[in-house]
Amino acid sequence: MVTLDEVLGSGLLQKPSGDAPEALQRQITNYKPLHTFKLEKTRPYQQQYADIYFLRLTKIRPAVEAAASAAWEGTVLGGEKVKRVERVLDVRQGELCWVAGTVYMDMPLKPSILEDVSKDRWISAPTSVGHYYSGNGEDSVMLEDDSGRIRLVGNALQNHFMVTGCIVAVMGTENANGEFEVIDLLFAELPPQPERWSLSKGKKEADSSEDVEMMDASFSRQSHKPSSKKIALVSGLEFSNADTSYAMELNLLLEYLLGEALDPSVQRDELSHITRLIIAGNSISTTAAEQAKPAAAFDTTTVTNKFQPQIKKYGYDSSSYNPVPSQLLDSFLSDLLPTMPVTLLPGALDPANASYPQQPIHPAMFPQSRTYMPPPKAGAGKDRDVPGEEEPGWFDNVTNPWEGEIEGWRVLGTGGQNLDDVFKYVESEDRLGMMEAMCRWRCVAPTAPDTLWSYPFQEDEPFVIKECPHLFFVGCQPEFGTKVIHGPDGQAVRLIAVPSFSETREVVLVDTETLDVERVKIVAE
Amino acid sequence: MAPSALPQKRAFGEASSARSNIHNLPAASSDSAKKRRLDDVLPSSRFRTFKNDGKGRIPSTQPKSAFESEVLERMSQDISDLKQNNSEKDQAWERPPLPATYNPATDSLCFQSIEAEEGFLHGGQATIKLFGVTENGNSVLLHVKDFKHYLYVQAPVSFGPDDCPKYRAFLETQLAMPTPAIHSVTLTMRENMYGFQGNTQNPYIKVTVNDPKFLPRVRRLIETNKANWKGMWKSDGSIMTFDDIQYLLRFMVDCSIAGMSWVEAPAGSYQLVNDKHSNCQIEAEMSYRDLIAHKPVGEWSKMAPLRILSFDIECAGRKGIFPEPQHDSVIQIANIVTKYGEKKPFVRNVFCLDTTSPIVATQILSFDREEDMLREWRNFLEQVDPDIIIGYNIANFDFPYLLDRAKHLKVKDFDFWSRTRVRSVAKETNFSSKQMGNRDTKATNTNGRLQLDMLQLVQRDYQLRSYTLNSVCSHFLGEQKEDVHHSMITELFEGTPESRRRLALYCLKDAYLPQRLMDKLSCLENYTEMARVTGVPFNFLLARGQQVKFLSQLFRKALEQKLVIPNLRPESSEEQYEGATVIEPTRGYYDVPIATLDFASLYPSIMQAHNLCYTTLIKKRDIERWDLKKDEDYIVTPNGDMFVTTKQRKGLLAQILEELLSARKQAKRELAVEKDPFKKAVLNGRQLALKVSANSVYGLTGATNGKLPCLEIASSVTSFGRQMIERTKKEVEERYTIANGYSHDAQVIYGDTDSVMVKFGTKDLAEAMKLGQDASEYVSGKFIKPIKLEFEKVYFPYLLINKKRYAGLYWTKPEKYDKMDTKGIETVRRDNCLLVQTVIEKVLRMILIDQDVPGAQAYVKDTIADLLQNKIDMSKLVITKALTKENYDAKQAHVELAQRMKKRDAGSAPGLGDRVAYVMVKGATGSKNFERSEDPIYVLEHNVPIDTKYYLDNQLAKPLGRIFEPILGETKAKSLLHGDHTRVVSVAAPTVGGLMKFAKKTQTCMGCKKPLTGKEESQGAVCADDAPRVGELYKKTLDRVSDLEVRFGRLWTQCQRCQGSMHCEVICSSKDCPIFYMRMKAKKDLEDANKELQRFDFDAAAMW
Repeated sequence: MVTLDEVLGSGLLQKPSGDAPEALQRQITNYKPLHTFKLEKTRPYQQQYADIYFLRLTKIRPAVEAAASAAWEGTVLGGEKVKRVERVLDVRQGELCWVAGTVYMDMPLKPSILEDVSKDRWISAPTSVGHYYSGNGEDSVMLEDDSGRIRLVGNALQNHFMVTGCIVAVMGTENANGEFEVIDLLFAELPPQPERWSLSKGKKEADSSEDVEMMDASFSRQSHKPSSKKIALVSGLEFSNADTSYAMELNLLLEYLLGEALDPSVQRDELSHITRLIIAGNSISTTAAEQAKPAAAFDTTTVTNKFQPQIKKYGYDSSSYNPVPSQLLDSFLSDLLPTMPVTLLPGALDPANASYPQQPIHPAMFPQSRTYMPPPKAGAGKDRDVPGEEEPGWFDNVTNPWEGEIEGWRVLGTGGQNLDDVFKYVESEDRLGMMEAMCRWRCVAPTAPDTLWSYPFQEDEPFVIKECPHLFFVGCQPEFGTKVIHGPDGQAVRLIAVPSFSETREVVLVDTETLDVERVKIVAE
Repeated sequence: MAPSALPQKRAFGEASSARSNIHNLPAASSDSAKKRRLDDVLPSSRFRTFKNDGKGRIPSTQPKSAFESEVLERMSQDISDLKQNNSEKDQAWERPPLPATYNPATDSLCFQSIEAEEGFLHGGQATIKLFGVTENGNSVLLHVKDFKHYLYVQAPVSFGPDDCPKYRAFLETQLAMPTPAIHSVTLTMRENMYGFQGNTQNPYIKVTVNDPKFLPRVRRLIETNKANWKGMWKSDGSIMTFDDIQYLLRFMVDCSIAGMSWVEAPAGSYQLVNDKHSNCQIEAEMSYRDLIAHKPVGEWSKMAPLRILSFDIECAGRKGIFPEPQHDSVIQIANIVTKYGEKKPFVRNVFCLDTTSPIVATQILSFDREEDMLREWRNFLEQVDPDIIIGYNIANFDFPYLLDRAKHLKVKDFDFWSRTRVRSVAKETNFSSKQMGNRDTKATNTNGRLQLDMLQLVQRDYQLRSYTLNSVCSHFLGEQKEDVHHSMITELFEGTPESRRRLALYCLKDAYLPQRLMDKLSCLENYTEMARVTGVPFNFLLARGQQVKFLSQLFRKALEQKLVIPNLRPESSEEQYEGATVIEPTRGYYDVPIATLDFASLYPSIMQAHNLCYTTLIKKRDIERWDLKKDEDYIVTPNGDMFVTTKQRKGLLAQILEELLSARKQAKRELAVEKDPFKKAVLNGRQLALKVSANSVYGLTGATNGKLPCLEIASSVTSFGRQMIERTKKEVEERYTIANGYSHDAQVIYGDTDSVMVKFGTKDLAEAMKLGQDASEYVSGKFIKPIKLEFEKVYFPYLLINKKRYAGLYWTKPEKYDKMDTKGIETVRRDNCLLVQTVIEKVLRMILIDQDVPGAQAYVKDTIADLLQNKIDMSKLVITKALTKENYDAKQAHVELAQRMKKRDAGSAPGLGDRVAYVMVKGATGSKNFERSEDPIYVLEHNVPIDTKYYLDNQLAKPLGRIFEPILGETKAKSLLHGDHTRVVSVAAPTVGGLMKFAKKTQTCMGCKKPLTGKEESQGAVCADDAPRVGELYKKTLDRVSDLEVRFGRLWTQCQRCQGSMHCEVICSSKDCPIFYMRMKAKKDLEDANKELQRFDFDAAAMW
């Protein structure tokens, strides 16, 4: 890890050499965004959520069943051979069997809108709870499909993360109480992984020699090639006019990315290799004045009412809008964009719609930087929705979750809500483990729509991971973390928990050849 | 389990555990894992024959391997047990068999008698049938013979013992019956209960008849003066008879048998009946003389393992028509049978028409023909032989429907539901009582089996907004129930086995909920104890009014003391007497503790203290006759009536009350130490029953249309009560004064019936409690025992709105308040919308708990502003009413609406019996309220503007005014409803109605509402002037979208949770559910909001 501290005394203050500064060339990475999570602008809401679960189950169940049948076929217990059962309903008491279905977690601590309505609470923002997990045995695990549901019990459940919406196969038997005693449990495992450069052409031939080498070496850490390119991942910039404690760091980050920080050698060897910035959520902060207001008006437990201004405005109050955070972000981006392409994912705090998948932040929020976006087609905004073969913008405003190909690698990333929600279900701090679980469940947002609000998909369930990414990142996490996981067919996935910049002042750099990760901490003194 | 036993263990936490889901263990271990075998413990011959498991199993000869862990072994044992005892296939329905050694000559027959009825044996002999269950769970029918019914009439002066046979002969001739009707005529000494008789007994003629059915005739004969032998009775009008009580009760009183109590026939005293009248396991006959009745105390307060069947039926109705038995078939019957004392039901099944997919731990019985299903269900009923049948609205719907349907289908002998050979018939009955008013109901006889219709029970005992199973469950069990509309039921039924399974699940839940409600409310225990305390059979409690319970007690006591009770002619006099007193409330908001002093059981204790009773009532001439002294031998009540004191005679009522209250104390003591939850429920039921009984005594003396009215007692009781309340006020206000060294002058701010509210003036809670305690002891000392003033609670703060209308925070200990208590404030009135309820509740909470009056005002203003700006969720404005009959005299909003809906679409319009939900919408000026009701869904779809003014003026204004007037004063309270916050009004633009057809829609600027007419801007969002605000306005629109998205998500996932399935579509249409309309609205609003948002894509300012 390189920190500014290390290099501060050494090379920054030196005599100008007299030579004209070497003009550094920033490299360009091959970049191809996918539009997996893009929604129609005019989308119906007449349908219900049942379709999502149905689609998810149909898509993932074959894989789960294949894994289960490979593992359990022929297992004999108590003189009885385990049988495959088609539907949850067909589980018979006393028969040893295995069955696949969707997990449902019944947890009393899940926020209940019925309760909120009866207490006249503000229902759009559920009373936030740290965990749905209660730990007192009131939670129960159900397995269900379209035929019915059955309660799962047994110690085997303790060894796994269990969240609503993941698809699993369980082996065991129904006991006298009508519960299913689980002896063993399996899930789909990593989906098939596409080859590198499977989508982007052109580059493939040029880098073919290198490519072969890469596949062999897999992810082993090799000697730093000076030519290797990097992409920067950052999240939780949280531009704000209320909290300025990290404003300096944000400025340094800009300088760092612009290649203006540190000494020329570092600029040449390190900074100029950063070819793209990906912002993974929470670029602006809505804390302070704005967010507290609706909560205070409806929550009697707070005594903020006393400090409310004497004259209250009824109806819409335009002064309640605070334009500063998004202006700060806009100018940050417009400063950066001339030098570097940016991919922007929205997060929980950003001015994008609340439910998953979040749609790109609207150009209306970026009066300056939107010039770097592809131009809107005259008079017909609709055409832009159709994911065509058009060139992506230099400033690529994307969905959350988002999928794309960078330098041939398949990349999947989110703004963090998916992981935060899974986190609430389990008694564990192991966020990387949960990311791994999501990959193995083949679902990037299993808890949608149960506790993670989501669009009611009817035709397709995009959260299912059809093709295994090479890189999976989740933004807005409390701390940095990374690891590589492997699948049964030689798949390998680099997982990265991208820390929130406002908390940690950290940026993550990923090598586009090795997918090696380093983090840079920016400290202002 | 040893870890090695599991072929794979996954630990997500470790970064090294790559490929964790793969079975990559060493070949040997995974191989052996797949061959886990235990000795075959299932001999296949023991399989039930109907288990369609044709696979022959070859017993494994492989020896047990070492790695097999205990868990695996246990599990395989379980599997084999379950194979033989599969709850989805063979649930044991029958009762346990009689003990093999059972012999009537050597074993006594002891059982809990659950029902008693009059009957016959051996072709005509009148008997009492006692139905019951033994401790082992065997069913019993005992015929009790030889008991003869009788009446009393006062003997004329010259009537001697020799006249008895002659009088008997005279009566026979007067009766002119083919068989001798009179069993005997005897002369006995008795005392009239009504009025003080100077403690002397007089001769009474006791006429005993052979058959109880002759008794009314004999009584009529005597009363109408047609049996005035030799003109000995010097009356030309009617002659009074005594002890008018029905045969069954007479028997129970004379044999001291109470309802639901244990009785015993000693060994050898009874014979089994060969020619059985019933399907009970034991049927015997005996003489009443040998019958032993156990008092329901100690060991005998136990309950037999009664079988409780809870069931529900589903009918396939046609669209828009409530199911009719002539046309619509019964498609499913779900049954849950539980033994009393067990937590889980032992039978869970659903009788289904057509194939139905299985349900976990539930037996599905599929039938092709409805007739077969009904017949089999009847057989099930007989086999499972329930002692109690419960359900929801079974009396008025399920029972009659099944009977009518079976009759229509000509299912032979379907109607044998009783334990005897009596067919069950649904009869129209009219139930009327002072307590509950008139009610038309149906009653179906199930002789020998008790019925508890939870609907009737809840209606009787609780005041609720709505009595649908859904809202009753959400009230008591705290959960919403999926509600499938009856038109949907047919659709599900005509679908696939899966959709029928869904219906079966729904049906099963409806069968299970009454059971849970009954457990939760301890109905069975409470009613059992009421039967035991008052002595009447269980069925009387639901089918009859209050009076019979009291009479049963009175007759029992009278028998002990040789008193006879006159048969008074019911005269419905309109005579009124003065009721309880109310001290005029000093209205206001009190932020100091208000102590509440209560008279414990005020009316019972007045009766005891002053010896008020039928037996002590005395007339002026009798006082002179026996030369009684005032205040020593008799007292004069404040009402001017006279009663003798205990020196002369202790009143019968006083004795009954004393016993009831001491029994209650005893029960409470036992309750405090009891641990077993079932016994606890019994004891709690008992103390409640005792309390209710004690309190009902007063009411019956005042019931002028009752059997034994005695207004002298009733009005004396209330007059004493009034006096005592006044006296308490005086005593307290005189003692707790600054002059007497107290910090403040105490003030009684309100008093009602049996309680007074005292403001001691102190701000300190503990101090107020101390003073309250002190005052209660001080004032109690001034009254005659057992009248006792108790200090129970302090209200702090306290909002006194009016007579019988108040709210306060209830404290019994100074550390923490117990609850918020409200009286008479409209949170439960049913014709209010939910908004009123939530606002009132919230306001009270803010005022009382947070003590934040300005906050409450701000909240009210915000709510009103939201209402006027159309921001209140419509589901909060929905009012529901049941459509009970077609023609109301006055036009009513819900009836009018139902008719209008019928014109629009007859299929979906609410039918008779449905609940109609409506909102008030804006109408033409001068239109009547009932013309402006509208279907909420229609309002949603067409954006019909809501008449917010109606809600403000007709719904919110009054209750809010009541609450705030005492706090703020009249003018300031009014200002809540008029002010700044009412100035911003927004009205939805409707898509229907008059001018809308001709209107052309033009977008307006989101910032300034200026119409966007220019060619470039017409599609966009903002006008040129507001272009710089585009970010702000976009954010505003976006926030609305986000808000709605979260709503949509939360609402629809809640419904999924509620229905218990994620993979099935939500079909619930419960109009009582608070989120039903919300979720409908969310769909539409979200689409609309997204359209608004889309305008930014066409806006130059937003894109360039």
